[in-house]
Amino acid sequence: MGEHLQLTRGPLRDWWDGVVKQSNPQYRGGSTQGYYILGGDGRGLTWDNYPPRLPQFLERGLALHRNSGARKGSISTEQIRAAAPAAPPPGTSIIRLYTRIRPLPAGASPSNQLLGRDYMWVLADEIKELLSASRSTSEPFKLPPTFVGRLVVFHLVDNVRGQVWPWQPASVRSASFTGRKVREAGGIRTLSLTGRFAKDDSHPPAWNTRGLEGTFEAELDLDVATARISRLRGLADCRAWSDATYDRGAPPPSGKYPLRIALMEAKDELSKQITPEQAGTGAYYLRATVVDR
Amino acid sequence: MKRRDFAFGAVSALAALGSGATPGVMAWAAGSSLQDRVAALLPSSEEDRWLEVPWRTNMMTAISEAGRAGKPVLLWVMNGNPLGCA
Repeated sequence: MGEHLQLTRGPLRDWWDGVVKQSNPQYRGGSTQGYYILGGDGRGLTWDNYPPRLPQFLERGLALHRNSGARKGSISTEQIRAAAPAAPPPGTSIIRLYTRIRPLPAGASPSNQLLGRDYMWVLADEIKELLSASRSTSEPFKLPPTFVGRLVVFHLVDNVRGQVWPWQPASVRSASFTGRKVREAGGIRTLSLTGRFAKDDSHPPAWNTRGLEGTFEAELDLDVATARISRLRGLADCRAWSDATYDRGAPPPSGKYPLRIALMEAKDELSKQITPEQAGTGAYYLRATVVDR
Repeated sequence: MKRRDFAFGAVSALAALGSGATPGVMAWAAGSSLQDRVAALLPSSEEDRWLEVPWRTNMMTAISEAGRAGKPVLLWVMNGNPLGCA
């Protein structure tokens, strides 16, 4: 899921249906993904879905706009509210994730050189649980189950080539993550996090087996007073295999390949407005847990 | 066509953008500190060039703004990676 479904299934769907048909009179159903030029009155002018044609598409759109005589439209407060990105729950800290195939195996297709990106939400109650578990001891403790579930199911994924067929908690064979306090000074408590995980499944359309397994390490600074993440440096060192995308022209490397995922705190304005890829699933994203079998 | 001719509408998803990393960057900094290994995975300035575009994150406010400015809106809608066209 993603914001695309916000358009096709949410309160803006009637408006979006009109824009699609205005932009692409040949539209006969199916995906409405692509790029659109809209006039300043919100009416669709043209559409395409082929990046190599982007410059020509923009020129055509500009010409259509200049010739359309479009007026300023009327956008309602309800429409603005409906189009707003989903806000994280109160007290949420946000993590930025960067995923790469490193080192790149010989012969891998060019799409495997891309950078996968996502955000992850860490909930207020999970941070409070971390603080509580580390308050008076430096002994290892288990990380919050929903934090582990969200990380392993939704974020330790190979999204380098594009959208990932969603993983399920039942696909996780093992997930063991612990933390311990290493120091505290100036109101900042530093935790060391470690973990290991393994998951595998098969999915449409080819029903190949895919999998991902690896280790995790992180240094996490928590602001004790505000119960927020102040700094994070984390790394998942993984082996992945046979993940397929919707695009048959972008296959993964053959066999098992190295996948590395970096995690950092995110505090910029964009991170507060772009929802994690799977956050549209609501409670499923926020409360999924996994079993270490 | 100049960038100022468009008001840039909402970005639907920001999964994977950018490429063209050099062969040296393809290597992995095994054995380095955690900080260094994380830094080795961060986007290059080339991979972050898309951030130079003044994207908006609410397409309805973008349309309102475009109407006031007399500009069209580029709206890029994808599930996942806009360049992967998933």
